[in-house]
Amino acid sequence: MDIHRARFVPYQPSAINALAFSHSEAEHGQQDPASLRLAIGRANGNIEIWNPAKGAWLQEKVFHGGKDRSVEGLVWTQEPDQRDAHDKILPGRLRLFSIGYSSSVTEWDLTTGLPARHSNGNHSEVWCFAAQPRQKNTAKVTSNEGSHAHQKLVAGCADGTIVLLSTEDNDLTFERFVSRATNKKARALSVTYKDQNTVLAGFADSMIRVFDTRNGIVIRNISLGSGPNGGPKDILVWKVKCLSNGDFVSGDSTGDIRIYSGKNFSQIQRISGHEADVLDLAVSRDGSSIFSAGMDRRTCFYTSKKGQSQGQNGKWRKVSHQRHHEHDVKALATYEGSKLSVVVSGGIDTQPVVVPLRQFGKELTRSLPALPPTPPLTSAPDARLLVSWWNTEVRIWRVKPQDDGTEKPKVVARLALQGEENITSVSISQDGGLLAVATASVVKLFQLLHSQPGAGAGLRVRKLEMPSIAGANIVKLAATGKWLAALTASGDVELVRIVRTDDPTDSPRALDKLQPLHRLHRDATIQSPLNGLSGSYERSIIHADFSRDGNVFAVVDLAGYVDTWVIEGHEDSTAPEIDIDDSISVAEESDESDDEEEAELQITFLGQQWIRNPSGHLLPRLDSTPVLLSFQPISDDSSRPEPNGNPAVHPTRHNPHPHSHDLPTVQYRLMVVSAEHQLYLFDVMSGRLSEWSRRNPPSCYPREYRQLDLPAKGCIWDVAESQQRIWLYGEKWLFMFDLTKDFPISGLEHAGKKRKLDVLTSNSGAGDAVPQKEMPVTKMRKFQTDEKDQSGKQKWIDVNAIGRGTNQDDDDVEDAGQPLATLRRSTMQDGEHTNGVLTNGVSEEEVNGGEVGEVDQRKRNEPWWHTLKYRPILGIVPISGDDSFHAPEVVLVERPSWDLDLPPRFIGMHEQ
Amino acid sequence: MADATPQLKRKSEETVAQRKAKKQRMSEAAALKDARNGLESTPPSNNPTPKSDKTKKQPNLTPKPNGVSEEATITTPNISKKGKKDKKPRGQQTGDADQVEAQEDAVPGSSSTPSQKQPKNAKTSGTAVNGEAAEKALKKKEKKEKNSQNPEKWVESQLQGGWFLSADPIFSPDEKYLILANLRCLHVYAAETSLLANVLPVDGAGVLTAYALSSTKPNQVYVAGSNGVIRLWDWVTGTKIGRWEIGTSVLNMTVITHPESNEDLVYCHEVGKSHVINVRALRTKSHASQTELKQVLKTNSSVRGIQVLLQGKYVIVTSDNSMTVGKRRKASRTALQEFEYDWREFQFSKPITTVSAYFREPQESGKGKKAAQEQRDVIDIAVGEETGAILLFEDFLAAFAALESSLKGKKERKDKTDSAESLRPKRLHWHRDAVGAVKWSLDGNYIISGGDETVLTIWQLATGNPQHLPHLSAAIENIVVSPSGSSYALTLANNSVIVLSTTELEAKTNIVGIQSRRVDFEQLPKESPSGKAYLDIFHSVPMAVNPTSPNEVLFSVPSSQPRQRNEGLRPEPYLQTFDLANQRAKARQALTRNNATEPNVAPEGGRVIEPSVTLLQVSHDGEWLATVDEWVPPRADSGYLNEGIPEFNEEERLSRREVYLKIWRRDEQKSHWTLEARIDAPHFFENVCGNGKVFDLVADPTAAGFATVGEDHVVRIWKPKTRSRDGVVVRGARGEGLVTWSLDRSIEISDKLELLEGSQQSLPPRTSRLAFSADGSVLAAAISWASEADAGVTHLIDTNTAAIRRSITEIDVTELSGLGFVGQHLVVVADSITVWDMVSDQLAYSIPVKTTGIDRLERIPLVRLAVNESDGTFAVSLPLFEKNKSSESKLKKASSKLSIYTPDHDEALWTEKSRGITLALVSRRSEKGYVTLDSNSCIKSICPTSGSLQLPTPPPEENAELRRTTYGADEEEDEESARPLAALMVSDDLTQNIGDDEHIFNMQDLQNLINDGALPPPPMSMFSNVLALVGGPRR
Repeated sequence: MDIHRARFVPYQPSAINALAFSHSEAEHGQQDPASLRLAIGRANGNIEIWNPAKGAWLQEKVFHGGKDRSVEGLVWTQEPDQRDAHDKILPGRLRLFSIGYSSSVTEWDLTTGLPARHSNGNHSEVWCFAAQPRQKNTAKVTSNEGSHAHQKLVAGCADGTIVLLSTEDNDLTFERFVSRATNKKARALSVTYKDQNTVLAGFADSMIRVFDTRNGIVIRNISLGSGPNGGPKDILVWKVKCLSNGDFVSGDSTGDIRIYSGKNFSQIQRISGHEADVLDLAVSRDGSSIFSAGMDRRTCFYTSKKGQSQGQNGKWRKVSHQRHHEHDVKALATYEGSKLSVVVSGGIDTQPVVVPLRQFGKELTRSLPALPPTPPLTSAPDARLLVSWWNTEVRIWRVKPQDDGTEKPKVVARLALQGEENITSVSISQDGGLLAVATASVVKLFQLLHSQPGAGAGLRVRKLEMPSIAGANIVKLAATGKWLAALTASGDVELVRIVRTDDPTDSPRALDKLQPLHRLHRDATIQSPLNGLSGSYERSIIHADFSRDGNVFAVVDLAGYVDTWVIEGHEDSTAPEIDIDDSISVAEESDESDDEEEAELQITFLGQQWIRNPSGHLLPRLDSTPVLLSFQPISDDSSRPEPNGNPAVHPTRHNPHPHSHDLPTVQYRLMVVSAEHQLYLFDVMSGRLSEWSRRNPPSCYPREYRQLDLPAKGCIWDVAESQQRIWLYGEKWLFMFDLTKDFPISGLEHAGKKRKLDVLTSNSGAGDAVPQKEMPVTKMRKFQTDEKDQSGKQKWIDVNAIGRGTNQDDDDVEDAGQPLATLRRSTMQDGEHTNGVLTNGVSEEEVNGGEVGEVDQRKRNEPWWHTLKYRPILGIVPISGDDSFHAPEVVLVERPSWDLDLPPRFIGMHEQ
Repeated sequence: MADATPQLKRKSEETVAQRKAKKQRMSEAAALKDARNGLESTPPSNNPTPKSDKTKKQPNLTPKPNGVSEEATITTPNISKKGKKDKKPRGQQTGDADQVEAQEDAVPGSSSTPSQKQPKNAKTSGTAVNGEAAEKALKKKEKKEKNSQNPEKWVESQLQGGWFLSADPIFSPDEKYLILANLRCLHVYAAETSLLANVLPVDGAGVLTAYALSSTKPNQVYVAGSNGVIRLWDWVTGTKIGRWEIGTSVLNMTVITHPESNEDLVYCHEVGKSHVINVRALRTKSHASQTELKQVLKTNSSVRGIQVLLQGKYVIVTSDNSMTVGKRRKASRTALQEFEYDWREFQFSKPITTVSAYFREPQESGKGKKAAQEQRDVIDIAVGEETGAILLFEDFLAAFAALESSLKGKKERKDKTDSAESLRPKRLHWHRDAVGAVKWSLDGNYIISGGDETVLTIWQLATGNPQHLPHLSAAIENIVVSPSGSSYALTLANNSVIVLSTTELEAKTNIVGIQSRRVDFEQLPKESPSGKAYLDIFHSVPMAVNPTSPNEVLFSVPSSQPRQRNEGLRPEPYLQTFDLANQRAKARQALTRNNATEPNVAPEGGRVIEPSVTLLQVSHDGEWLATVDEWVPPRADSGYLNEGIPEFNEEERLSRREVYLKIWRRDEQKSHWTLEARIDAPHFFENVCGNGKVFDLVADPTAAGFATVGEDHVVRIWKPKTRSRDGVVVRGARGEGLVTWSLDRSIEISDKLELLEGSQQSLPPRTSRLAFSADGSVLAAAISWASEADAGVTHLIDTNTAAIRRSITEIDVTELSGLGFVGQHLVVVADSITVWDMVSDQLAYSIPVKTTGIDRLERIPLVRLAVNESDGTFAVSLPLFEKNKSSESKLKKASSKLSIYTPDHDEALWTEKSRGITLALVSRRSEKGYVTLDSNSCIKSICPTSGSLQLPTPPPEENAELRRTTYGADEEEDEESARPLAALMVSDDLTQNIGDDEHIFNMQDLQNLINDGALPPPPMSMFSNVLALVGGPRR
C-alpha cells in the first residue's frame, strides 16, 4: 500500500463547551441504565451523543448545528416513570435541552437530531440553566399533583434575570420569573437547584444568591468579597454546585473553590487549587469528592472524609491536580453508576477526557477521540481528488502521485454553502464528476467540471437541479454516479437516479422522482427512554453504502440491523426514465407487507427497479453497535461477464411495465465492523455470514486487535486476485487483515490472556488500572513482634488489587466460538477453497514501495499486520485509480492536536 | 619580642572575649537554672550538682592576676611530670605523650567531679590498652610508639569542626538551647546568641551516632556511640549520669515516658546483622527498677527513622521504600515485656525520603459521650517522596483497618471500593527534587517541608496554599518544630543550623560549622573504567592562614552538600573564614558568581554549575587575598561543538574555560574582602584563543604581590601599583591611595632547556608549582611535563630581573606535587621528597614517597606540602588507601599520613596518621606549626611544644571549655586543666604574665573610663574606647 502521510487538511475540531450525562446515577437498583448517554456540546453548534456503555465511549450521533450557534449549555431531563400493563416501571422519556448565545432554550429531538422546540422569552441571553432534580420517590409522585413530577428548568440570563421554565405536556413553556434583572445587570453565570424549590445562582458581581422558586424570594445573598489585588474588583462565580448533604460549593475567577454550609449559607472552607479561573465543578453523588477544572488546564480533585466524628470532620482537602488538557477546561460532567463511575472533562482542546471518579488514583484517565468517528473525508480516486468538509465548507484537493515530486496537494475547489447549517455529509462519485452535499435542511448536488489543460488546476463547480430533500444525515453517491442516496433525519431512505451520458458537454441531470426505500420492520425494538415521539432512537441509520457497481445498497442502524436493497433489472437507456407502477406492489410484497404501510411506491428508472434484498431478512442483527459498513469491491470486475449478456428488456410475466427482474449475480460481500471490533463479512445475496466470518470468530482475532479501545473509523480494500486485504483503521491504529487466510486458532494460553484482558476492561469506564509502579502504596503486610523470623515470608498483599479481579466468572462464554471455528475450518480443508486460499501466492511486485509495504513483505505470511504509528488519523481514503495490479494508493490524513489552531492559553507561574 | 606582640595582643583579646563570654554565660546559666528549677520532675539528685561544682570552684573565683599561677598550684601532678620531662627529655617521652593524650581526651569532659577523673587516671596507667582504644577512635591521633625521634615536640590539637549529624536537632523544652551533635561530641548552643554553650564529648572510642532528650527530665540527654555505649548526660551541667554498655551501635533513638513508673523508655534502632528496634528501660542506680529491654521489631530492610506516638502506642518505622506502622497490642498493660506490636508494613513504589506522623486530638464533640473514648485514634502521616511529592495520608489507621476488613470479608465484598480508596493519599507536589524533610506543625494544620530547592515550604492544609520562604543558603535537610511551636530549626546542607521564628520567618539563631568539602563514605572513589580522574573528590581545598591572625583560616567551600545526593566534586564558590581560637565560623562570602538567589536549574533540568575557586593566597601582611576561580562549560551544554571527534570536543570545551584571578582587599570595618581587581584569563593562549589553567599561585613573602604559573608556560608576577592620573595619586573615599593590580613581570619558560634542542612544538605541562624564597628574591618554578620521557625542570628565577638564574634538572619532578623553600633549602615533593641545598647547590637528602593503594601519577594532586619558615620545617601529607577485600574496585578506607621534616635531617621529626584524606595543609605563617583540613571537614593544628619564648597555641578545646554553661566560678579551673600545654612551660607563663599585668593596669583605666563623665558616653564610642584600652592601640 502506498501511503501519503499528510497533514494538509485543516480540519478544525470544535471546542467542547458543555457536557451532560443523561443520568447521574444508576437506575433502579444497581444497573447502569442502558439509555445512559453523554451529550457533548461544541462551539460549532454540534451536539454529539456518546454511549459510554462498557467503557466503549462510542459516539453514536451528531446533531448538527450551524454557524454562530454555539452550544453553551446542555441539560437532560427525564419524564416521570410510568408503569406499563405488567406493572413494570417504564423509565420516563429523556429530553435534551441546550442553550446558545441567545435568549432561547432549545429542545432536541433525539431521534432525528433536529431541534424540536424553542422557548423564547423577553429576557436577555441565557447564560446558564439547570434542571430541577428528579423526584426520587415515584410513589409519592403519583400521589402528588402531576406538575411536580416534571422537572422544571431554571435559566439565568445576562441581565441577571432568573427564569423558570416548565417542561410539562411534552412542551417547553415559560412559567415565571424567579428574579428580575438587578440594577447592576450582573450576569447570572451559573445556576443550580439546591433542592426542589431552592435555586442557587452565581453572579458576575461576586455574589451567590439563593432563591425560592415558588415565590421568587431571595433567601440569601452571599458575597465572595472583592477580588485579589491587581485584578478586577468583582469575582465571577463561574459555577455553583450542590453536595448531597445540602452544602454547596462554588468555583470562581480567583481559582478558589469555596464550600458553604447548606444550613446557614456561610462559607466553611476555601481551597485554592488553581492558578486561574475555575470554570466548572463536578461533585460525586455521596458528596465526598469535588472536581474542579479551569483555565489553567488543571483538573483538581478534593475529598472530605465522611463519617468521621473527630478531627477533620467535613474538612475538605485537595488531593491532587493533574493536567489532562492542553487548553482551558470548560466543562465537567459526572456519572456514578455501579460499574461506570467517571468524570468527563472537555474544553477548548476539543478532546473529552474521562477521569475515574470512584477509582480515582487507581485508574488512568483516558482521552476520547476529538475527531469524528466517521471520517469527514472522501475521495474520487479516478480523478485523484480528495474532499474534506467541516462546518459549512467543503474543500477539494488534487493529490499528485508520490513519485511526482514533493509537490503538496493543491486546493482545487472550495465550496461554502449558503445558509448557516453545518454540513452533515458529502459524497463524490468515483470519477469526481459529481459531488453531493447534505445539511440538516437541504441536499445539494454539484457537478465538478475539470478545467481544460493549461487553464489552471482549479475545478469549476456547477450546481445541478435535483428533487428537493429536506436535509439528510448521510448522503451517498454510488461510485458510478448513477444513484444518490439520502438518508433523512427521520430515518427515510431516498434514492435519486442521476442520468449521465458519455458526452462531456451534456451535463448530468437528476430525475425528479425520489425512490423511497423502506426498511424491514423489526418489532424487537426496545422500549428506550431515548426514543422520541417521532420514532425509535435505536433505529437511526448511521452508516450506508453502495456496492462498487451501484447495484446493492446497504444501511445499518444503531441497533445493529442491516437492511439491503438490490437493483432489479438491467439498465436500459431506451426504457422510460421514470415508470411508476403501484399496482404490483401488493402482489410482490404480500408476504411481508402485513403490517407495513401499504403505499409502497415502485418506480422503475430506465428499466431498473430497487427492491428489498429477498434474503435481506436473513442477515443477523449485530450484537453491538456497528461502526463501519463497507462493500468489498469485486475483485475481478473487468472480467465479470456482462450481466446475463442481454441488456434488453425481457418481456415478463404479467407485468404491464416491462422490466427485468433479474438480480445481480455477483457475490456481494458486505463488511460491517461492530464497536466491539467484531468483523462481520456478509454474503449479501445469500443473506448469511461469509465463510471467513464463520471460520474466524472474534476469539481468534489477534490479541493486539482485541486490545484496541478505539472503534474502527473506516477501511481501505486491497482486493486483487491473490488477496483480499482490508486495511481497517481507528483513530490511533491501522490494521491489515487478509480475508483469504484464517487467523491461527489460539490454544488455552490465548484464552487465558483474553480473560485477563476482559478483567482489565471491566473498569469504571476510564482508562486502564494505574500501573503498579505509579501507585504510591503498592503492597502491605501484617506481622507481629514475635513473628520476626517469619516476617520476611509474610504474604504481601497487593493493596490495589483489592476490590478488583472479582468478576472473572462470566467470561467463558466467548470461547465457545472456537471449537466451532475449528470444526468449520477442518471441513473447509476438505472442501473447495472458495475464498481462494493462496497463502504463498503473493508476489513481491504487488507490494508497492510504500513504507508499510516493506514491513508488509516481512510479515506477509501472517494474515494480519498492524501499526500504531499514525495518530490521530482523521481518515484514510484511496486516491489512485482502480489499478488493480498495484496495491492501492491512499492518503492518510493526520490531525495532531498540536497542529490545531487554538487561541492563546493561560500560562502558569512555573511555565515561563 | 616584636614577634610576640601580636600574640600578646591576641591573648589579651581572647581574655576580654572570655570575660565577656563569662558574663553572658553567667546570665544564661542563671536562666537555665531557673528553667530547670521550674521543671517539676527534676530529681533531687540533679539539683545539687551545679551547686557543688560552684562551691568546689569557689576558691578559684578569687580575682586572679593570671590564671597560670593557679594552674601551677592546682595541677600539681602535671607540674611534677613537667619537671620530670624537663630533666629527662628522652626517657619519659612515651609516658608523657600518653599523658598529654589522656589529658586531651579528658579535657572536654573534664568537669571536676571525681567520677570524671577516674577514667583519666586509668588511662594513664594502662597505656597500651588505651592506646589501642584511642587508635580506633575516629579523628583521634594515634602515636607511633616506635617512632621515638622527638615526639614530644609536636602535638596536634583537638579536631575542630566536622559535620553535624543528620539527626534532627533538639530544642530544650524552654527553647533557649539547641542540642546538636557531630561525630565526636554533643554541642549545646544557646538559641539566643548562637554561641556554643556546652560540649559533651563521646567518651572512649567510637563516634557519636544518636542522641535523644529524656522525656521525663528535660535536662538529660541520651547519647549513643558506635562503640555500643549509651550515656546519659546532664547537658546543663555537663555531668555524666549514667552509662550502659549495650553492645550494638544505635542509629536512632526516641524516648518516651513509661506510663507506669514515670521513667524513660528508650526506643533504640540498633544495627547488627539486621535492623532491630528495642525498647530499653535504662536505669541508673537512683532508680529502683531494673534495666531491661524488649525487642519489638527485627527487619532486614535498613531503617531510616523511627517515630513514636502516644507514649508508645504507635511506632512508625521508615526505611528506603517502605513504612511500617506498629500498634501496641495491649495498650493498657504497661510492663515493658508487654510492649508488643502489630506491625503493618507498606511498600511504596517510589523511594521515600522522610515521614512525619501526626496524632490528631479527638475533638470534644459531645460531653457525655462515652463512645468518644472508644473511638479510634486518628493519625495523619505525611510522606516525602524522592520525586518531590509529599503524600498525605489522612486517618491512616482507618485506611488499613478498612483494607483488612475488606480482605477478610472478601466474600461479602461490601464496600470494597471504599477501603481501597482510603489509601489514596493527597498529593502535595511543589518540590522539584527529593523532599528533604517534612514535619507537621503542632496544631496539625500545616505541613512544613524543605528540600534541595533551598526553599522552606509551609502548606496550609485547609486551603492547599503553599507559602514559601526562598533563598535559604543551602538545601534543607532537617526541620524541627520547637516544643512551643514558636520556631523552626532547619538543618541546612552547608553544615549550618538556623532557627526561624514561626511568625515572622526571621532567623533567630544561626549556627555554622565548617562547611568545607565533605567526602562521604559512599563518595570514596570507585575504580572507574578509565581509571582516570576518579580521585577528583580529593583535590586540594584552597586554604590559607591569615598572617595577621594565625587563628583565622580561610578556605573555599561549596554552597551546599546535601547528604542524599552524591554528585562528586562540587564547585566551591564561597570563602569561609574560621576562627580556630573561638572555634566558630567567622564569615562566609562569595568569591565567584553563585546561585544563592539565582535559578539553580537550567532549562533542560540540569544544575547550573558555579565556578570553583581553585587557588587562594593571602599576602604577607594579610591585606590582600588572591583567588583563582575556574569554570568550564558542562559537557551537556557543549554538544553544539560536537564535530565527531571526542578528543577535539573536549579540547574545545576546555578552551572555553573561564579563569579569573581576583585580588581582594581586606575591609577591616566590614571584616570581609572586597574585590579590588579582576584579571581575566591570567594565562591566555594567544595562539589558540583558549584560557589556560592556573597551576599555582603564591604570595610574595615580603611585599604585596602574587605569582602565578599557568598552562601557557609563563610565570607571571602580579603587583599593585598606586594609581595616578597625570602624576597625581588617585585617592579613594578615605584618602587612601588607590592601587591597580597589574602584571609586573612575566617569565616564559620554554619546555626545552636549550633552544637548539627542541622543535617548535611545545609540550603541554602536566603541572607546575611555584615557591618564593623567604626574602622574596628568588622564585622557584618547577614544571612537570606531560611526557614521561622528560623529568621536568626546576627554574630559579630572580624576581628583580625576571631572569632564570639556574635550572635544576637533577631533580625528577615528573610527579611534582609540591615545592617550597625552607631557608636555604629547596624542597621538592615529587616521586621523592628532595631537599636541595641552594647555597652549596647540591642535594641535601632525598626520601622516597610511599603511598599505598594509589597510582603514582594519580597521587600528584593528593600529596600536599607545606613549608613553615618560622621554625624551618616542612610538612608532607601523603594519602593512604586501603582497597576493599571483597570488591577490588571500591576503596574501603582512606587515611593520610602527615610527616614533619627539617631540611637538616632526613628523618621525620614527627609522623602521624589520621583517618580521612588531608585536603589542605598550610603552615601557620607567622607562627610555628601547620593547619590541616581533612575530608571530614575537620580542622586541626599541629605545632611544636618546645621552643623559645613563643606561646603555644592554646588548644582549641580551651574555648569549648570556656563556653561551658556552668557558673562562672569553675572557669579558671577548667581553663587550667584545659591548658596542659601551657602548664608545661614556665616561659609561657612569663609571657602571659606580662600580658595579664597589662590587663590589671587596664582594669583600672577601665573603671575610670566607665565612671568618667557625668553622662555616659554613647555606646559606640564607649565600646571603641574599651576596645582600645583592652586591645591596645590599633595598628
